[in-house]
Amino acid sequence: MSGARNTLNRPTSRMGAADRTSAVASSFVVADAGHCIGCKACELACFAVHSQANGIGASVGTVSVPVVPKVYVVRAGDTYVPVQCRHCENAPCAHACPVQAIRQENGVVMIDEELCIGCTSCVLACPFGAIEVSTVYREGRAMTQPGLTDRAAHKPLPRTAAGKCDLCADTNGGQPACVEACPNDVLRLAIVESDLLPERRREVFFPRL
Amino acid sequence: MSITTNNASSAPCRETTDYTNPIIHIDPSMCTGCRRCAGVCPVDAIEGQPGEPQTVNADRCVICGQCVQICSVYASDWADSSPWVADSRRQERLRERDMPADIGEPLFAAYYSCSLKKVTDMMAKPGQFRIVQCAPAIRVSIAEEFGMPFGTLTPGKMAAALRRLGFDRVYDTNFGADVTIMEEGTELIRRVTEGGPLPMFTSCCPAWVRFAEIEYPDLLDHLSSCKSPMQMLGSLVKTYGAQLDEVEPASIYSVAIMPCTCKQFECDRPEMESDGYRDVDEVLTTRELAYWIKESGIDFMDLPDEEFDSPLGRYSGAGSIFGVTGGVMEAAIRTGYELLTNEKLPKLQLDFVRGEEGVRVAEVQVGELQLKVAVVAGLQHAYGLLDRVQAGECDYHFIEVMGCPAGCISGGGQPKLMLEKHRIEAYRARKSSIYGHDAGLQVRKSHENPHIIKLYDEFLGEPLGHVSHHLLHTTFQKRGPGKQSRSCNVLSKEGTNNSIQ
Repeated sequence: MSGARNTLNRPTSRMGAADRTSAVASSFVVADAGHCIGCKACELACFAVHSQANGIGASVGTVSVPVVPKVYVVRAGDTYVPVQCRHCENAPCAHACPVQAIRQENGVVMIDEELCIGCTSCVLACPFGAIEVSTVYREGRAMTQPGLTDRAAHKPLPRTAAGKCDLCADTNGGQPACVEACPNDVLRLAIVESDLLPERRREVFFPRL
Repeated sequence: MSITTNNASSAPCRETTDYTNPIIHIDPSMCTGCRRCAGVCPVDAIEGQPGEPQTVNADRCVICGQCVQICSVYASDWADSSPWVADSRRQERLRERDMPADIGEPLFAAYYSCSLKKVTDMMAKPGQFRIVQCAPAIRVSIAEEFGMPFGTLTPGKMAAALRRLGFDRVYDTNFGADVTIMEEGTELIRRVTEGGPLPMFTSCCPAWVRFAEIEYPDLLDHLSSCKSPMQMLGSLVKTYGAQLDEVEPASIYSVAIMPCTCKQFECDRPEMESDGYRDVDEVLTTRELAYWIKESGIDFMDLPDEEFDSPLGRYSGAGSIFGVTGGVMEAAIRTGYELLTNEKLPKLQLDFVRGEEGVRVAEVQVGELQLKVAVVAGLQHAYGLLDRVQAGECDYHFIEVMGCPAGCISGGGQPKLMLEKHRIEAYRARKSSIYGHDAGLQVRKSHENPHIIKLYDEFLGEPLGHVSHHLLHTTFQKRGPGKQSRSCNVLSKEGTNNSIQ
């Protein structure tokens, strides 16, 4: 199935995130934990817009790969909250990456899936638990890792890579998909100006403290 | 067409216990209790506390499947400890739901029982004459399951796919819709002229029929006694169709592809049989047909366009618009106007019944008669109107009710969308595709369909005649004490004196 058949109607350029963030130092999606109902619509929307390489259209029936989003709805007691990358200015994940697969572009911390070796160093370094290492799929099929074989089964093992929120870098410059999809308006894109005072910034990070 | 004196209306009502085999389920191990399903349920059948797994109250549920459509809580395979555990958990869930083991799509907390295995097992049995029919709303949505844009129209590919899946005859529910218009239109004319219970309600939508049986059992004699198009065609397949093909009705295995989760319930109703044979043996939804096509390795989009089989697969434009809200009304007016006035309908596109509001009302001048009609889309909008009927304050002649928000194109068994923002876009595209299909057909009125004329000449005799009464009409059952108190907000678009000229 070709990507051109998709009905999600997305441009092919990677201009969106750069356009949106060129005027700001960094931005990230922030969640209001008190209002999240745990419906996971954000996870599904995130997966839908990040799965173009697998020919996924608007209908659930077009999905042939496991749903691995870049935002995770977490439950703590009676409270649900979506957790995703905070795009840290001094990103610990980037420091931990042994192959420099993580870089910052106009305030957005990005993982280059091609360079990533799936070592999970970034997963351990991330203070928010926002990074997941999972199998890489292309055209609906699991990619295999050359040279990495399950000896007992004589089968090549899947290639894995780290994934996390990229603020929908591939979308057309609108709101990130999770923000758009949330039925309860729990998520919003917080734009942090570089000259913001520390007090104000603290408020953005920890709205409930 | 003459009107017979055989009274097929005012169906007797029987009281019955409710169904024991629920079709809609919510998986308690997955449900996060977000209650978005409760928000779309028109009858408050979903119960539970926020944050806790929800349950479906099977006595109230009308099986419309809107909860299945909106549920976004999927099984997070990545959260399991290992890929092996995730896979075995997934296989367990697929077995629980009777779904094929090799489908790739995510599994959601709200789901409906899958009948595909039952059908494929039966298809494998030798000595059967296998017949299938497809609802009008499938041909505008099935391609979405293969990545095509919303509303892509593929009747020919659908017929070709069904032949490759092993059906001996590929018939069309649209033909049944044309028969419905003949019967229901005649019934309406009789009720209007002879003072039958008015307003008369359509009885095509099984969720609506079930809703009336549960919530307004005292109004059941207002429902048309007609079976739905699916059941009508099912019963014709094992009688007229069996005669034409010279096969034994007992050897016919009859399957229906429907956009609806409630059609399985309708097909299982004890009264839906003629001479000991089930009208329809099994129902599959649009999504289930897509699973089947994928499982069989058929490349749907590369199939050639093939014709439906004759005569029970040849339909008019009026039959095809049954898939959208207002479609039954429009089809009925196209035929009713000409039967009552003996004049040609000047304009076939009846815009006053088309639209997206929950309730639309209009007045149509049909000869001497000022016909007052209403169209309801979404059962939550039916309460207000039915309360007025109960109070004797509703002077409409004919009311179409469809359980789903945009008619069958938005049914619970239709392709499920991943993004809520696409819903309106998808409904509009499917709808315009159905109207486009109607506009492109040569015959656009049920009573002008040559195969319908032949059916009545050769087999049925006349609408509401003895054969029709036996095969095409049914009775309803009281299923509860009646309406529970709830508030009703009726949105209505007041149509003013729509003259057809």
